[in-house]
Amino acid sequence: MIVQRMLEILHDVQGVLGSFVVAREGELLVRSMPEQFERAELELTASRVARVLQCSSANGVAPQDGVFDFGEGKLWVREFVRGYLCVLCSAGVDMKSLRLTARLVARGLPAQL
Amino acid sequence: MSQHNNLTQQKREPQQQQGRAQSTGAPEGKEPRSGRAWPPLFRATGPARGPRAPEPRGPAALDDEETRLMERPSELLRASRAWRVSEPWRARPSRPPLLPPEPGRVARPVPRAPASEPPTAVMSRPSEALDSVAPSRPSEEPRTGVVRKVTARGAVKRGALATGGPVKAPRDSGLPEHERSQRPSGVRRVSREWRCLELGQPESTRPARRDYSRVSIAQLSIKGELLRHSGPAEWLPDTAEFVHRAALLVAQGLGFQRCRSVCLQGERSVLAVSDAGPSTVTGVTGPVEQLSGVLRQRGLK
Repeated sequence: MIVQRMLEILHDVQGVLGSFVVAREGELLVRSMPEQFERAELELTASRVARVLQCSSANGVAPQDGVFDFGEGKLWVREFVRGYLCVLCSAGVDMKSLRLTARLVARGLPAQL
Repeated sequence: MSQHNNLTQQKREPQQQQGRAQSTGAPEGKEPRSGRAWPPLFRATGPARGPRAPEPRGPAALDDEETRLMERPSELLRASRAWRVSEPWRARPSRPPLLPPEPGRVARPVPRAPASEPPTAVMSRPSEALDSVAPSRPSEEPRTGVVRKVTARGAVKRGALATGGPVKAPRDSGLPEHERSQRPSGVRRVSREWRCLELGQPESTRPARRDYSRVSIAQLSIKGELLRHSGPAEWLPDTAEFVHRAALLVAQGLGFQRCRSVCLQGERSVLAVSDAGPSTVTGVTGPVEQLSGVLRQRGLK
């Protein structure tokens, strides 16, 4: 429950649509997404995100921050101890506010989820 | 002071009166008001300005002075010498005839007087001047307009060449000191680099260029074919292709049509994969310091 409350903090940033937490192996741990995103579909997307990040780590670029730009929206990725915090937001989000808030939330996530 | 002015005014007065007489059309030879006779120098002999009419030749046209000179040959000779001195261009010796060169013979240049020699007004014996001309040296060739290339070895000291020792290169040759003094070949290498020729001006220190050799760029087609690749990261084309395809699936899983770009920032390096057009994908990787612009553009910095 603490994790859910921390993910809801991200919604204070204007433009944030939802967030979820992915383990390093690609497992979907926690999600705070709108209801239109089904869990099965989101698990598959989480595994793909983790695979992209693992590919980068395997080539020497261990990502701490990452951005997927979809044009109309963005997916912000922040590394933490347990895995990756993913934040889905619109294109016009304030990246500076999102970056600071996401780092605070990722730092506050407990190691045991 | 006032006495000097009076004398000057007395000297100027005849000239002014003469000018007035000419301008007013006074008869020639009219004496001034003071009753003093005009010296020969100030005697009016014709109009002061305008084209001079040709003087008539013959005994009838001789004036009194010429008649007097004709009667006394000694004075005529003295006046002739004085006249030749006053007109030095008449006294120059005539140049030897410049004949066209014959086949097999090089045309001799016209000798020139050295600049340090003062010009002589009267050349008493022109043959002496011709004898004093130095004979033509082989280096003196007629000017044909051909420009000769001057070699840089001419500036090397003769002593160093004679002894056969190593020749020191100039300080501005861009070589270190030990290499300049100990050159095994003994031939000075001329620096081909641009440098400032003004003495005392230190060489401009250009800022060191950034080392972009660690940045790798791979350009792929939309089908995954490698178009261009540069840099040390050989894994970049395959990784860029994989990231591009996986990002497209992530975008579609989240309800979007496509993924424009993916930028992943590590602790020291960056990986960025983005669309560079409708059918081209570009992957870039390199140090964070050199790709800070990419990070700033993606909102990661």
